[in-house]
Amino acid sequence: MSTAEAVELLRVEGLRTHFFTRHGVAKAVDGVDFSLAKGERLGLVGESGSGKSVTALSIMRLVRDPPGRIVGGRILFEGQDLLALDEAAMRRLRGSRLSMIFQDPIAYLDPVMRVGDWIAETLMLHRGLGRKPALTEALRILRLLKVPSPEEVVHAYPFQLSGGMCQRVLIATAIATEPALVIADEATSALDVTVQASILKTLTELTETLGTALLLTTHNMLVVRKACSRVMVMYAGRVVESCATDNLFQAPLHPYTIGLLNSVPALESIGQPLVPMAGEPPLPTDTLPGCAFYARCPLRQSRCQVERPPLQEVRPGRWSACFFAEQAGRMRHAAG
Amino acid sequence: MLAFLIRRLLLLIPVLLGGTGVVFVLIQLAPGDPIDVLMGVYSSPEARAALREKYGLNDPAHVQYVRWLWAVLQGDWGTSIQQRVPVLPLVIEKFWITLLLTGAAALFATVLGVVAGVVSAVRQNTWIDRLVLVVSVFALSMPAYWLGLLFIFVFSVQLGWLPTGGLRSFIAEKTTLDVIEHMIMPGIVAGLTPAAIIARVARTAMLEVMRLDFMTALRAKGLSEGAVILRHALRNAAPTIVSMTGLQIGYLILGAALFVEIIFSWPGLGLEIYKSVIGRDMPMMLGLVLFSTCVFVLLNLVVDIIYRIINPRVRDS
Repeated sequence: MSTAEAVELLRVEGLRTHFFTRHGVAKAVDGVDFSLAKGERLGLVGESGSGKSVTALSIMRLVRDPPGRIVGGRILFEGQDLLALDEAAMRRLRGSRLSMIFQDPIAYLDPVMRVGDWIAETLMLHRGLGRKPALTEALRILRLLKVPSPEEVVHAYPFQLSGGMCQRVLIATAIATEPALVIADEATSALDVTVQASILKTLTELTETLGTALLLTTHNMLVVRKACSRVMVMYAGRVVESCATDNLFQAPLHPYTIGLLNSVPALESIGQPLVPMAGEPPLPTDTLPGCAFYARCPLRQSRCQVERPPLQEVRPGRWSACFFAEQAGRMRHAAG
Repeated sequence: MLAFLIRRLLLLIPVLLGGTGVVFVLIQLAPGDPIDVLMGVYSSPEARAALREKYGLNDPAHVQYVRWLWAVLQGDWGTSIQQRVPVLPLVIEKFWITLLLTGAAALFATVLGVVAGVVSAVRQNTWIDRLVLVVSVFALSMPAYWLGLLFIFVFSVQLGWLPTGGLRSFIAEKTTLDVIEHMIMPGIVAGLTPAAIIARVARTAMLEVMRLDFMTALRAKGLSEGAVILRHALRNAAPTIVSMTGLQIGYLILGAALFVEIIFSWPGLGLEIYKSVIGRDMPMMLGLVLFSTCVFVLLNLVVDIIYRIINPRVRDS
């Protein structure tokens, strides 16, 4: 999927993360494959419950057990399988080689810790710095992020700062150790639109300068379009389409992607009504032999109900998990 | 902070007036007076009347109360009718002895309570969590006067490990070790109930913090589970634990100490209150109530100040 000459940083193979609940086994992630090159920015799109956040948490090995458990697959990061590491080795990687930022920034900071100390904690842990030099370094990073009056911000508690400011603090923490990969899980979703744009800009610029790869999960197509060069669409725990971002917006090759695109406003479709997708995604505890999108699909055939379409390269660099990908491509044109 | 302090200190006045007033009224309602206790029923009525006149016991109750209050305001806490010594120095002396016991009990209760609470929160729904629950319920439902007798029976009478009571031995040298030996049983008996309460509160407070989102962020930073729990979760749960601990220490000084001191004949405030009630020793009783109420209110004030210091959301708003 990635270009041949790019150096591979992360390869996820057959990842399956299940949640064992009273109502049955919820297959939140059920066979996800992808790879990510050094410095690449990949968007992971889907509705809530599609498995994108669980995929992100699985890579960090932070899925709460119980009820969740990674039941299968491999996660190769910088050549080593994260799922084979012991907890201590994994801890050394978290926050240093791969780090994560979250949806609701204020809730993801320690309410009784000054944010300067919060950033410094990571540096003290992974760089072995003392508190003073770590705080100086924290200040330098906040300046790098163009945070206004950083000298005051480091002394503030999270509740004294805005959501956008807290997210900058989390970004500063995530990049403080210059990791190879930053996972941003719905990192802009809880913020105001204007703040969203500036956080997104900060995130893309920083990863660009530092050569850090970015895995961005979001339900917002427009965020992906702005920030990512490649995109994967997830539905019911599986990847249904994967390609370069531009391709996806010009000619999606999966009916679910089309539905997703039709339901968000875009500049080129001004004046056209938005089409909400009919129906609901299947319950994660359902076991369907066929395509998970079958019940909502406008192109469905009887075959789709009994046979699951695999993710295939239907055109060069274009992967779709639909038996009728080519028809789907024409469908978008007809709608547009 | 200053306004807060002044407000709290002003609040002390009605609390003290109320506390001493209630004690005064209750004593008036109780039969008998200190002269009966002091002189016995076979003394001559003239001698008893003379003594009553001397201590001003013939005046109406409210006159007696106001006279006492006026004297206290001038620094005169009166003289104990039974022991015929000034009340204030005696109360202060007894206070230090009580503080020794309650300090030990509070330390025991806090350490045991917080450790048990944190462990049962981290190991929620495991055998150790259930064990802590069972022991807490046992400690909560065992009255100190019963548990004290049980301890004396087992550890002093049967096993002979520890002295049955008192502050020090009569024959032994006056060593610190001797005092500590005397402190162990009353300290544990007094501290067990507060330990159980602190453990329950600490467990709940920890669980409350541990389900918050920032716990995931801490793990994502690469922190070890120990650092997540001790440096962050416990730090966040601290305000709740501190206010409950403060209340429990106040309860120790005023409540538990009374029973425990009587059972283990620990010569502190509790035992003194008991003796002054039996002897209808009004000045002594009022002095003791006034003093311990002051201590209780000031202790709560200190706890509130600590609470504000460790909780930035209250402090800075």
